[in-house]
Amino acid sequence: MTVYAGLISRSMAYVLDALIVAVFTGVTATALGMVASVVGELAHRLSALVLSSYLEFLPFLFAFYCTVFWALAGRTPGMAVFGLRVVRAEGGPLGWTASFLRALLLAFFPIGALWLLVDRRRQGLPDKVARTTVLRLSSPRDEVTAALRTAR
Amino acid sequence: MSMPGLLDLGDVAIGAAIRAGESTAEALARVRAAGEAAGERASAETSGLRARFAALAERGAAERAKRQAEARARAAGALDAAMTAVASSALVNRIVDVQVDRMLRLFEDEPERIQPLVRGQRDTMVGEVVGRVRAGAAAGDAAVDRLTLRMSRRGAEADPT
Repeated sequence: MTVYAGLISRSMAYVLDALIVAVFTGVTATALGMVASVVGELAHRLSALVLSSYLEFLPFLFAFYCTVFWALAGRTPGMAVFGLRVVRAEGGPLGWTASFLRALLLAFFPIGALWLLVDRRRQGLPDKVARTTVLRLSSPRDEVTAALRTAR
Repeated sequence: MSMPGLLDLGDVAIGAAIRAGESTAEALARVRAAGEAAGERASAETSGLRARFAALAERGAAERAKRQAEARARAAGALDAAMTAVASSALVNRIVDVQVDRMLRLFEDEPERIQPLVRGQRDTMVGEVVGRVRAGAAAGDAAVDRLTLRMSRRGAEADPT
């Protein structure tokens, strides 16, 4: 049975994705910093700058991560764990523009997603703007059906 | 003191009869008292005997349980010793070595027979964990939906417009 995903599923998927991005970028930045500290003074200063602006870049990286996954697969790894899939409101896969718009709003204004609490189709502000909705697929068969539907 | 007259003889007879009755009653009372005392003595002796029997039965049951436990422990010890002797015997060691070598050779020669089993087990475990996580999240969604629905209804009732 396919239903609209609620606040808890989507929040947990969001937190899981944010954790993945934070861990990945943190490990990468640390590794680059360690390499740069060996290479030379200029690289060391550059790595210090990157590490200090790490938190500022994090939302952009998160938006990029979401855009790529939504446009290519219709779901992020966090959403896959919770059996969620983002589709266009009228059905069909997301395009790059809609994915980017939705990801940007979700990364920089996540509180707008709380509109889903009072919306009939569980659409938050990013969904309203990008004209998308999030479905919960309760069984593998649903997932195959939804994948075929979005592929058309 | 003069001899009683003829008329007084009747009174004498009645008095004698009453006296005889009283004597009989007293004798009967004595006999009854003696009987009751004898009955009490017999009852006391019976209850004492019964208590002695109960104590003996209790002692017998305790001894029987103790002997049974000792016999059971001896049997278990003998069984353990026999199993250890069999398991550590040279013949069994050789049989196990041969079978283990055979299994290792099978794994080495035909890994495709083992891989699906391992993969299936892993997939089942992962699927179970994911299923639990999804079910928990779906239950949370349903609870939040119920809460928001109740609040929105209450708000609609409070607002007359």
